[in-house]
Amino acid sequence: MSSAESLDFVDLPKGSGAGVAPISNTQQSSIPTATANGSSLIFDPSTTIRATSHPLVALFHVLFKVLSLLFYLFSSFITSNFVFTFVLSVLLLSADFWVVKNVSGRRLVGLRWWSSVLDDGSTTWVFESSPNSASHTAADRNVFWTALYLAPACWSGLLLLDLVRLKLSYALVPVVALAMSAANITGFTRCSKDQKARINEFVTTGIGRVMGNEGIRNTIVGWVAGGGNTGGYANVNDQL
Amino acid sequence: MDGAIDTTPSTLDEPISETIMRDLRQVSSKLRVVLIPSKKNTISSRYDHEEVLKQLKDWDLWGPLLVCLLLSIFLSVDAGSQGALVFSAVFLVVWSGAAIVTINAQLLGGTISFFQSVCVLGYCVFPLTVVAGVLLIVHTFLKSLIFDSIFVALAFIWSTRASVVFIGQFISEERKVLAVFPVFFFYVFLSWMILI
Repeated sequence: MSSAESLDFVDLPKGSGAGVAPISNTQQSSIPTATANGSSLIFDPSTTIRATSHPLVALFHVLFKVLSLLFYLFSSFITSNFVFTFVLSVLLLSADFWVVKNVSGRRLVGLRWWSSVLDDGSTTWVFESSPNSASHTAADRNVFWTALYLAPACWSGLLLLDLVRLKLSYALVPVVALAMSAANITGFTRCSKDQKARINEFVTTGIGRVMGNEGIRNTIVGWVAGGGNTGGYANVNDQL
Repeated sequence: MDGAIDTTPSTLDEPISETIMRDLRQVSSKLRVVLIPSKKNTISSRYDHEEVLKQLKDWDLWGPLLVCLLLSIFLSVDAGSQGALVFSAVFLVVWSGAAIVTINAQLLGGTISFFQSVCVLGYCVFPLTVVAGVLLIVHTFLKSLIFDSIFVALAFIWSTRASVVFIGQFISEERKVLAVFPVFFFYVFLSWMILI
């Protein structure tokens, strides 16, 4: 498809501006994201990222996810060397994991998790959340949680694709991606202290707001994330 | 992923560079510890021994990932036409092997934590990785099975000893052999993969 077409596609009037998409507009049409079925969703990534309280952190939070997905998808055009693809993908995924766990979790939503080993050899997991939640805006939470759930959704799709095409060596990459995403999702979801409150509010108010872009995205991703596990989703009331 | 014993809540606010440096320092110090395992016998090295144990208690999986990637790369470059297959095979073997050995140790009633054990086993593959790299260079001008075997055997003894010292801590005496045997087997398998 020509770049002119994809530019036209994106030039439509922008919506309420929330949501996460690839940074560069020209890349948007080539990403098989889970929200692609909602063609009414018009993302304005630059506004969203700039609306967060830590734009650079939010950028990196999304950047490595997008880079790893893109690289893996287009690796066959870049190189025929499997090892190079694998290593670079895994490095990008590791970078993403590290950024999410150590940086964006802290800065965007004030959550941190780790494990420590006691003397008797058992492992305890520590979940820490910052009491200073006023500094974390709704945009922060939006970007953080959406990207966190969206990326593994894409990787699951890619895994299925690889299995169906019987490219089992390549399938290792989505497996690694999913393992790392699962770790982060589990850690951060358990961190999120008002998880139950958000579930309640999502159930009561989220369905009533399906008409808006926010509602569609939240509903879709809520469904993807498996119903009750909406974790730290932006409280729709914050949008008011 | 790391199991650093973070007791201070202020890590929530530390600068990013500090976090990076901390992780890097952890990985490099653990690599050093694995390369120079200390004996239990002498009195002076008993302190080193405690130090070693404490080091390895703060598990992290970055080191094993790095070591595993390196080993896979070295072996796949050396394999030529079957590079891709070798790469995936080695990667899978390292991680599943570590997991299986760990589960075995746990089932034998060891008090070791899953991630700690995977971490130690992963780090202890490092000597084998070093030798694989050396052999890669050597193979450009010399391809002798005997020569290879000597190096690999050295690395194998090195790796096995390093990991046995650690795993042995957590298993009771009579079951030690049962727990150690899979470790032994794991490294034999990896050494064999380097040789072929």
